[in-house]
Amino acid sequence: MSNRVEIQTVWQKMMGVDRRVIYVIVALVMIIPIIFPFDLPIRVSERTTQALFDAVEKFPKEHNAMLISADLSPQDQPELYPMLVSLLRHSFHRRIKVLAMCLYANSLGLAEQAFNQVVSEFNNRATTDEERIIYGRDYVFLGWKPPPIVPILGLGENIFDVFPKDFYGNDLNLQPMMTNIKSYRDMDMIASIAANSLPITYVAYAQARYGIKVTAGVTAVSVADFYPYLDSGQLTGMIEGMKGAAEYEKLVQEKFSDQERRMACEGMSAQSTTHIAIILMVILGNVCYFMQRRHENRRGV
Amino acid sequence: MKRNLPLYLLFIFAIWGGISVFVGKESVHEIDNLLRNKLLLIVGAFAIILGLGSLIFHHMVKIRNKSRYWQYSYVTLVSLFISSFIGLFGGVRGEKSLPTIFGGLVLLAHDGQVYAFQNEAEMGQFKASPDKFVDPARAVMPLPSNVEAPLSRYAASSLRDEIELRASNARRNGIQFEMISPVTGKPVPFKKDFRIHIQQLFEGILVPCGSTMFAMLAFYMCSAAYRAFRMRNLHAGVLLVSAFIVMLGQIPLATAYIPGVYELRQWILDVPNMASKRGIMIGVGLGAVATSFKIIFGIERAWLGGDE
Repeated sequence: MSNRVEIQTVWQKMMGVDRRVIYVIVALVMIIPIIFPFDLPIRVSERTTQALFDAVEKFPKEHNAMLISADLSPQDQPELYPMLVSLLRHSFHRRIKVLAMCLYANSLGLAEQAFNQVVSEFNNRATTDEERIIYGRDYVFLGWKPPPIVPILGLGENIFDVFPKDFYGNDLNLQPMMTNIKSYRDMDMIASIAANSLPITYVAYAQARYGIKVTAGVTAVSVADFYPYLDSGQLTGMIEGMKGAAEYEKLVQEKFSDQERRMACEGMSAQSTTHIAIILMVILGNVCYFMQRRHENRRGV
Repeated sequence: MKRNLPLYLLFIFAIWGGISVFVGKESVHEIDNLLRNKLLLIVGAFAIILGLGSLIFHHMVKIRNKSRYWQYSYVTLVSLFISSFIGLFGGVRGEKSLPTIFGGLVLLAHDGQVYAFQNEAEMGQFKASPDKFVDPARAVMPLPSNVEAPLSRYAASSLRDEIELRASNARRNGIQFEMISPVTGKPVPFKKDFRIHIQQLFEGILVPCGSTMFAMLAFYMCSAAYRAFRMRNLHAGVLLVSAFIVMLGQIPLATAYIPGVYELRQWILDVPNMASKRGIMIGVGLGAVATSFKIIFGIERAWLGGDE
């Protein structure tokens, strides 16, 4: 009898374990793989990541352009920033003209940081001016203009009406690449990288009205919301959270022998161990719960 | 009038918005563009002013009344004014008149090349008689075509970033990267600049604070999952099993070594998830249309605020 009481107390004790113990476990399973990342077998999703990669690959060689709506914030940076970086690397490898804008002010810093990083990577390798990525010739950063509906609809009519100047205060119409780009009609795709429903807003307003292709880079927690749009073909591929970003990094690296840092692949180690830890904790919590309930039923509580 | 004018304006602009989508006439589109690109922008700008005013007023009242945690209101107000001042007069990356970049490696653009110096005096010597010292072999890099000489604070800061990246890449590949002063012929050690422009404030304060706040969620989530995610009934069981499968589908190791996990995850997202999402979306869409009509025709007036 005394043994039984001891076992029952163990279940109860385990259910009420100090939360700091859980915090320490989570910290360890997160920090160790960040310090010592390991390679994981990345399987590329055909309908989402591969579809987007293929769509970008099919851009015409001349007069191609993509609008990137970079609406990421520090909170979702680990998931969305690697997507933006990979998409920029892919676009610049393919010499696609990139226009970028933000629909929220707090996205400007990270968007600019991503451009600076990728442009430095390319320029560091470049030996000629042709190989360099040059502002105004290869990309333009439009900046931010509130409220979101103004640039989303306005860019369909005339970019210069909405953004007479770029983020750095230069006249937009003086930028060399803008001679051929006036509105959505001169672009091949919009890539909306956001942790909210902005890609759906682009589908509803930009695609429905102007017929431009839209793709999305979204956080893993909101992926389920976008599947109906992917299934209907309104979204041309999608990058799903850090896993999708790692897949895109892999595709870009394989295609262009890119040796730059793969942030999402590094992050996947920590994300995988944390997911495993959560699954094990939920299983353990439920085992304790059922054992305790069984004990209470036996005692007739 | 005070009550009816907003209702009339809403009715007119809402009907106009609908017409402009279906009428293909150029003049209609032009008016629509004017309304959207000019009028809506002005309204948006006023909304920001209103928001700022409201924020300042709220915190001033909090400080005056010594409400709970009133001390933090000082942090908000001081941060707001300092960052606004730096942003307005110093620019995002130090491109405006207020100096926000200090010190750092001394660089000079000359004859399409970028040279590095130990200090300003050395650079002065070079500038005084460039023909005596100019030596393309001692240039750090060619001047990028989009950068103009003389270098602005902003341009010099960007070039320093590029030099730092080149140096770190060279070190990584085991190559010696050295900058030699064209005046003294001695190596110039790399010196970072001190920046307080908006981009630096964002990268140095907002990004770490935001990331920390969000990272803490992972700890709370794990603790909550352990304590509260229980299979109490059939519905909770279905939710638990689905969550497990979708979560396993996110783990590359699981998809590689547990057969069927990836396909099962995809099936959950493609079939039950999509069916329920579509149902919700259609319901929300119909509800939004109905509410919009109620607002346009003045039946729903809660948006007017007050007692309306």
